[in-house]
Amino acid sequence: MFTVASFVQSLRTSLQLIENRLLQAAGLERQLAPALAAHGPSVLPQLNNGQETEEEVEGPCQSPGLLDGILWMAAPKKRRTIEVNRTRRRSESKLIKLKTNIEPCPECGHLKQKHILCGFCYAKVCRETAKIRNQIKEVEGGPFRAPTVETVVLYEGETANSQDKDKRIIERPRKRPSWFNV
Amino acid sequence: MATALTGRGLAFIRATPNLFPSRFPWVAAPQQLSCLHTSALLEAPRWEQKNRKVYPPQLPGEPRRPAEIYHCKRQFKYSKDKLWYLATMVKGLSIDEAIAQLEFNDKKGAKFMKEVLLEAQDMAVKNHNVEYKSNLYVAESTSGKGKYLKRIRYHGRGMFGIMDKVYCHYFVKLVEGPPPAKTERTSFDAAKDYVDELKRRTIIHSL
Repeated sequence: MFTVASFVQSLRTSLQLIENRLLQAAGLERQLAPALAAHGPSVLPQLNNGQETEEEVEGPCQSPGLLDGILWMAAPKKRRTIEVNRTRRRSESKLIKLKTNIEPCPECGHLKQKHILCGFCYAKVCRETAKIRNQIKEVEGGPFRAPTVETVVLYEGETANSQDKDKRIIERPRKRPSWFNV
Repeated sequence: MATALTGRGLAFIRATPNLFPSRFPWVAAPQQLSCLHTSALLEAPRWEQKNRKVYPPQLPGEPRRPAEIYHCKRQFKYSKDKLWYLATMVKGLSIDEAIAQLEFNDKKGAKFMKEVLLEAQDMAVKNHNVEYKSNLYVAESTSGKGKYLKRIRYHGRGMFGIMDKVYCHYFVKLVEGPPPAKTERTSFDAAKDYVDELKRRTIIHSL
C-alpha cells in the first residue's frame, strides 16, 4: 500500500515537473513554486530527498508522456489505407496536364514550344558560333588580346563593306549560312 | 530417358514455363481475359511474347483487324509511381501527340518513354505491316515494378533503415488506326451505372 501510494505520488510529481518545464520553454506560464511542496508527507523520506536534490526526475513513463502531453507534436492516429492514398495521389490536380503550346518550327520542322526557341535551330547556331570563336582565338593567338574595335564575320566570296572599314575581319572558309544575315 | 521424366522431374518442368519456349504459333483466344490483376500481365505470357501471337486468317466479310504492337523497356532507374503519371498522360493519344508531349516534359521518365515509343513505331513499320507510322495510337501504357536493390540508410542513435534503390518497367501497346474518341464520363453516368448494377442483382436460393 505504502509503496504503491509513493509510486503514484512520484509519477504525479514527475509529470507535473515535465509539464512545468514545457510551459516554461513555451513561455506561456510564469514559474510556479516547486510542485513537491504541495504534496503531503505520505512520501517516503528517501524518495523525497531524491526528488528535492535531483533536477531531472526520471518517471518510468516519461518518454510516452512527452507524446501524450497537451502541447506536444501531432501524430497520425491511424494508418492511411491504400484506397485513401490512391485517391489522394491520383486526384485531378496531381495528374500531369497536356501541353497545348507545342507547334512545329517553321524553319526546320522540329517541334518547339511557342514561347521558346527551337532546340534544333539553336544548336545549329551554337555550332557555327563555336567555329567563329575558334577562328577568333586563332587570330588573337592568346588571352586578353581582344581589340577595341568591332568584329565582322565574312564568308567565302565576300569583301568588306565601306561601313566595315575600321572593324576587325574574321574569315570563315564556307558559304554564308542562310540564317546569318549581313 | 522416359524414366527420368517422372514425378518430381515433370513437376519441375511444369513449374518453369520458360524452360522450353514454344515455337508454335499461338491460337487466338476468342474471349478476352477481363478482370485480370495487373501483375498477371507480367508473369505469363510476358509482354515481349505478345508480339508473337498469330491470329487465324480473317473471313472475307470481316472488318480488318487493326495491327497491335507490344513493346516494353525493362529495369531502368526510375520510380514506378512517378512513371505512372506519365504513362496515364500518354494513354489514348496518337503516337505523334504522345511523342510531342513527352519531348517537352521535364521528367526523367519522359526520356525513357519517348525512346520506347519511337522504337515501337519503328518496329510497327518494319515488322508488323503498318503502312503509315503516324496512323498509330497508344492503346495501353503502364508502369511496373522492377527488381529493387537494397541499401542501408543510417539514422541517428544507431538506428538504420533499409533503403530501396527503385527500378521500373514500362509497357506500351500501340494499335493501328486513329485514336478512339474520348467520351466524357460525368458523375451522372457513374451514378446511373451504380443504380443499374444494384437493380441487376439477383438473390440466389431465395423464394
